[in-house]
Amino acid sequence: MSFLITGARIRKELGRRIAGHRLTVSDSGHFVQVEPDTVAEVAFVVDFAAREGVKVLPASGGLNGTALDGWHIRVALKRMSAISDYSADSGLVCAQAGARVQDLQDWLLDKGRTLAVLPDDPSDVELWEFLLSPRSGRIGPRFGCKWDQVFSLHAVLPNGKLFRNSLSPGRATGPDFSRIILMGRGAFGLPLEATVSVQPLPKRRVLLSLALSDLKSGVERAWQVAREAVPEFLEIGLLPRGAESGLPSCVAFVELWGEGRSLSVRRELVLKHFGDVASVFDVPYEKLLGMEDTWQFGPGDTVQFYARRESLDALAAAVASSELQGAARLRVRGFVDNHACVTVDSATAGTCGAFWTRPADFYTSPDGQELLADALGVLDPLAIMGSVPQIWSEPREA
Amino acid sequence: MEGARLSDELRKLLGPSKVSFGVQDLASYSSDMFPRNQILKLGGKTPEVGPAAVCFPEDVEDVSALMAFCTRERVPAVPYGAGSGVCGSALPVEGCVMVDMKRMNRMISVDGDGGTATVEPGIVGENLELLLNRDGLTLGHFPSSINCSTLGGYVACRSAGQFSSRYGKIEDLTLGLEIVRPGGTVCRLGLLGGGHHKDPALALFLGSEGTLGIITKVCIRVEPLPEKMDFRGFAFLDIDDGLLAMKRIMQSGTRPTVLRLYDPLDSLVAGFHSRTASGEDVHAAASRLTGKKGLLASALTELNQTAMALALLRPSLLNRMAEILPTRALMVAGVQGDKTDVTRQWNEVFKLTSSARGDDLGPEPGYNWFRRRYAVSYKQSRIYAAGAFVDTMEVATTWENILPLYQAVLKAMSNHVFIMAHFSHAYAQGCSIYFTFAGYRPSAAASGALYHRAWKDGLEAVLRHGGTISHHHGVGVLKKWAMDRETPGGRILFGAFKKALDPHGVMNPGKVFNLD
Repeated sequence: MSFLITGARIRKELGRRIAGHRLTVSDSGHFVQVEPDTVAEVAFVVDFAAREGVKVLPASGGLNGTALDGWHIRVALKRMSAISDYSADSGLVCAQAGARVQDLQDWLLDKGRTLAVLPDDPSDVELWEFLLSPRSGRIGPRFGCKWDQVFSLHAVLPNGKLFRNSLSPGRATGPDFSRIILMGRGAFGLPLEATVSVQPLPKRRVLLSLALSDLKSGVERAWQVAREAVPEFLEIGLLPRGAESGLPSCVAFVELWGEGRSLSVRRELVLKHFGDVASVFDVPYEKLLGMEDTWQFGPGDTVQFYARRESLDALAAAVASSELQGAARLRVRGFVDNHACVTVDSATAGTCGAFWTRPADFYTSPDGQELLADALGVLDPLAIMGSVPQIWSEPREA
Repeated sequence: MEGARLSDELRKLLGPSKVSFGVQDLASYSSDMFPRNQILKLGGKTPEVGPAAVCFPEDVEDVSALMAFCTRERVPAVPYGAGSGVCGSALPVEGCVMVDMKRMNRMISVDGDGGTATVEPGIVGENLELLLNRDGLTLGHFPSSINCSTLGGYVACRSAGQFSSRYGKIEDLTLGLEIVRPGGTVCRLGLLGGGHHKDPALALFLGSEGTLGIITKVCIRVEPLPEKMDFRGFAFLDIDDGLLAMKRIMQSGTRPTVLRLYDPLDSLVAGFHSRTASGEDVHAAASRLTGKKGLLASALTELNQTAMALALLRPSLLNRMAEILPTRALMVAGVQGDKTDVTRQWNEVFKLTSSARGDDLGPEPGYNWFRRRYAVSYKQSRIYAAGAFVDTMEVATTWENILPLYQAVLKAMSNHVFIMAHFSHAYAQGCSIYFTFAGYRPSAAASGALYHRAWKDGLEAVLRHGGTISHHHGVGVLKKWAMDRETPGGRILFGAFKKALDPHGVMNPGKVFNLD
C-alpha cells in the first residue's frame, strides 16, 4: 500500500472523472469519500485504487470503527439506488446496491410483492450491506437464506474490473462466483446491482403464538415443524420478563402464508408437531414481535451466532438445567437446512458461547478459508478490498 | 515427459495394475461423448490429441500421489468419469495423464436420519441410486445419462436430473466435498470439512470441470423414497399456454417431481401428433413438403438411415413441419408423496393447468415418458450410424424471456439443422429449454463445419437474448468462447483461483475459460 499518497492527490485524480461536489476529503479520518453515480464511475475509482495501492471501503452507517492506516477511499453508493428492472412474470426485481432495503420493500409492497428475507432493520441498511453482511436477517424454513434469493449479481472486483452473471436460473457455466463474492463479505468484490427473487404477498397469513413448556422441547419440535409444515417463518425464544407482563417465559411464533385447504393443512401440521409441549395463547403475534422490552432487543446489547442442529439442541438442554431460563433473552430463528440463527443479549452470550459459532466463521470450512485466502492473494495482492470484511467483524450494534 | 520415463514413474508410483499405456485404452480415452469428435470418427479419423497414459486411482492417497507427481513434473492431468460429457470437458491434452475415477466407487457412509451420505465420486449414477434405494433412500438425481455417468461428473459439471423441479440440481444436493489440490494436498469442504453446506469454497468446485482439483469424496443430501409417484399428461392449445401453466405451478409453491413441455416437433417425435392442423396425416404432409414419400416416418419414427440422411440434407423443409402441425403441446407432469399429498398436489396442478386452458390426458402419456425416460440417448448412435450427427443444447432463461429466446434459437439454427425442443427443469423464475438438433452433410468435414455453424449461431442467439449458454451440460471446450459474454469478469476470478491452486496449470488445461 502506498503511504505516500495524500487526500489531495486522491481527490485530484478522482476529480478527473467525478464531479467535485461528489468528492469529500476528511483530513481527520484520512479518507476521501466518493459518491459515484454509475457502475463505470465505481470501476474507475477502484481501478485507480488498485493501481495506486489505496484501500477501498464502502461507506456504511455501520463502519464499526474500521480503522485503516493511511489515506483510503470510501465509496458511498447512496446515489446508486435505482430500481432498474422488475418482472412480475418471473418474480424478480433488479436494484442498484445503494438502494435502502426499506425503500425497495415499500416499492414492492405497492406492487403486491415482498422480499422473502429482510434485514432486522431494513430502514437502516442498503442492499449491498444486507447482501454482504454475515447477519441472517429474518429467515425461515420456506425461503432459505438471503443468498438463496440472489438470482444475478453485478459487482466490481478488487482490480476495478466488473463481474456479472447471466439472468438465468440454474446456470452450469463454471463455478458460481456470485456466491463467492456474496459470502466473501466484500473481499472478492463489491455488489453494485442485484437481481433478487420476490414473493407475491400472501392471500392469507396464519400467525400462531404458542406458549412452550420449555426451550428444549420447543427446539426439538421446531425441527419437525420446519421439515413437515415448512412455515415461512419460525421463531422460538425466551422472554425473561414474560411473567411480569403475564406472558409465558418460552414462546414460539409461526407464520404461514397461503390460502384455502393447503394453508389449514399446514396449520394443523404445526399444531400436531408442537403437540403437547405448546398451547396457543391469545396475545396477538404482531404485538408480541413489536414489544421492545420482551422480545426485541435494543441496540447495542445483542450478539448473533449460528448454531448447527446438534449445537442448538445441546444449548437448549443446557438452558433447561441452568438459571438461564427465566433470565436470558434469547431468540432462535431460521431452522433452515439444519441450522438456526441465535440472538442473545450480551450478558448471556459468554455463558452460551460454547455452543455457537460466530456468523463470520460459520459457513466456511477451515480448508475453504485457506483456499479462498490463497486466491485473494492473487486477485487482490495489495488487499485493496481486504479491509471490507472488517465492517462485519463485530456486531454492528456493539 | 518422455514416454518411457513416464511409464516407469507412474508404475512405480501407483503400481502396474493402476496404469495403462495400452493402445486401445489410449484410443478409448481420446474422447468423451463430445459430438464434434463423433463427427470426426464418421470420417474415419481419430482425435488429433490423445493421452500419454491412463491411471486408475483406487483411493485418495493414490490421487494425492498422482497430483503431486503431475505438478512436480508438469504433466497435465485430466479427470475422467464415465465419459458421457457432450461439451468436451474430459478431452485429453497433449501428453496428459487421464485420471479415471471409476475405481473409487464406494459408498462410505449413509445417515438416513440426518439425510446425508458420503460417497466416492467414481460411482455410476444408477448404482448409487440402487445402493441408496436398499436403505429406502434416494438422491433424487436422475439425468438421462444415469447409467453411463458418475457422481463426480455431475458435481464437476453442475448436472441436473429429470426430477430437478422437486430435488434441485446437483449443487443443491452437494453438502460437502473432499478435493485433492493439484499439488497433492487434500482439503475438505462443507460438511466434510467442519463447514456448512453453503461453504462458498464448495461453489468453487461445483462446475469447475476438473480444472482446479480432483474430487475424491462427495457428501450428498438424501431423502426417503417417496411413498408414491404419479404421472399424467396434459395438452395445451399451444406452448404459450403450456408455459403459463408451468410458471403458475412453480410459483404456487407446489414442487412437482417433473414438468416437461414439448414443442410441436418434439411432441411429434414423442408420438403425440399423428395429423396436421388441417387433419392431414403427418406422414403424407411430410411427403408433400419434401417430395419424398414416407420420408418422415422412415426418418423420424423408424430412424431409417438413408431416409434420415436425405431428410437432414434439407432441414428447413423438415422444420417447416412445425408450421403445419397442430399447435397443441404435450406436457408431462409428475408428483410424489404420500397418498394425501399426491392428491393435494394433483388438485393444485389440475387447477393451474385448467387456468391455462390445459386438458388432462390421463396417466398414459406420463407413464409412457417415465418408462422411456433414459431411452433417448440410445437413439443417437443410430443417427451417427446414418452418417448424420445429433446434439443437444440446454439453455435457460426467465419466464418473461423464454418464448423470445426459444424462437430466436429456432430461427438461428433451423437453416442448418433439424431442430426441436422441450421445456423442463422449471423454477419459480424460469426454466430450461432443451433443444435437440440433427444435421447431415455427405462428408464428415462438411458435417463438422455445419455442426460448428449451428452451435455458433445458436449460442449467439442465446447470448443476444440474455439466457445462459448452459443449464446442466457444462462448458468444456464447446462453449468457452462464449464465457466472457455469459459472465463478464468470471475469467478474472477463475484465473485468480487457477493461479492460486494450480500455478503450473496442470489440471485439465484449456477448459471452461480461455486463459491464454
